[in-house]
Amino acid sequence: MDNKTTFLILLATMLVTLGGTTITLNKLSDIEMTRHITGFATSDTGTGRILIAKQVSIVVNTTDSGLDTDFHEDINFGSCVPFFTHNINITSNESNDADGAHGNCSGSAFPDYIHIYNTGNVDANITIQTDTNSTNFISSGSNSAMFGYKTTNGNRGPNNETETFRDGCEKCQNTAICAGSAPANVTNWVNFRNQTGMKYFACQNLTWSSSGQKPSFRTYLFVQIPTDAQSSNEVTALLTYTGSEIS
Amino acid sequence: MKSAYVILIAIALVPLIASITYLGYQRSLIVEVKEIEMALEVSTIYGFNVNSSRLNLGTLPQGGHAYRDFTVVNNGESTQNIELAVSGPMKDWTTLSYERFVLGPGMNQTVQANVHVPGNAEMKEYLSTIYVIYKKAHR
Repeated sequence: MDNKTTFLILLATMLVTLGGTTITLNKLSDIEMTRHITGFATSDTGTGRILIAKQVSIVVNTTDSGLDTDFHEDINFGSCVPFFTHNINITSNESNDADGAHGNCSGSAFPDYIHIYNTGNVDANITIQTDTNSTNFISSGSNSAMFGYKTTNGNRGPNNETETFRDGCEKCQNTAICAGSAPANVTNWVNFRNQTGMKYFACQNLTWSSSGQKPSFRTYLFVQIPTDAQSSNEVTALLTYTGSEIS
Repeated sequence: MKSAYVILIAIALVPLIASITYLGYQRSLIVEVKEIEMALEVSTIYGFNVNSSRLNLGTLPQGGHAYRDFTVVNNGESTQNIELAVSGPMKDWTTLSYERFVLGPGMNQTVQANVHVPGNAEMKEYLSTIYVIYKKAHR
């Protein structure tokens, strides 16, 4: 086989491969497109744009390790035995009450609250939602089972020094945006009564600080177990906080 | 003997040329690439950063989970195939609700970026990039 023949064979190989691949790719492209669209414009002058949502959501996973001293383990009310005469009311901020009388429940020494900070540089409104509402959290024939929350401000300095309880959720000054005289925190217990997925108000105008401080708020949890509560396996609730940019 | 060599070379050239052609073809389809910077700090607290100048996910502890949406818009006059890819240290922590889809002219698609921080992640700030690749949907 002379050099010319060799060259022609290789050239033919390259051309056939090149052409075959291109044709195949074009055919595949046609097949893929017809699955999705039936018609399109003829111009190829596409321009893309990306819009980043003004909301971000954080799912609180209470089994994490390595958290700060405020929140180092589950808020676990333990196993509770209903009273015959009156409802059991137990709140997370009574967790260090070692006598057990506050709830007839076995849980003890769990974190008093969930601590959420604003570590960014934009003020935010915060909502909270649960994947388990009060009806599913406690099975009861009556309507007095409750699983709820409330919030307060919490603030620490740059070195985690003593809390000062300033900043955190501040009443919005712009009544056109915010709900008039509504408080910045949820000062009374609110029951997660509604269907899961509903976003409940948690903190209005969680401020940010350029001075190294970390404005924050705390969420306390509350459970009311009625006298007719039915026994159940352990029930857990996953809390999702959503922060929305205030612009 | 020489014929055998030629045939071997020809056979070897087939996948090579096919690969180069494929890559060249794919590249020729790209109309535009957008980059979304994604930021997260791993620390001992939960913290919000809602600033939308980039895909901020705030501050999470080890094992934490956060998500944020972004919307991909096709402002062009033709249909685009959109492909998304994550690059950087958060690549393996991030899942996108859509990784490829088709957008007609003027249409948009909201995508959710979910980040799950591993339990052994080093505590520091992480930056990654989401690439949004606009490709021609036809020749």
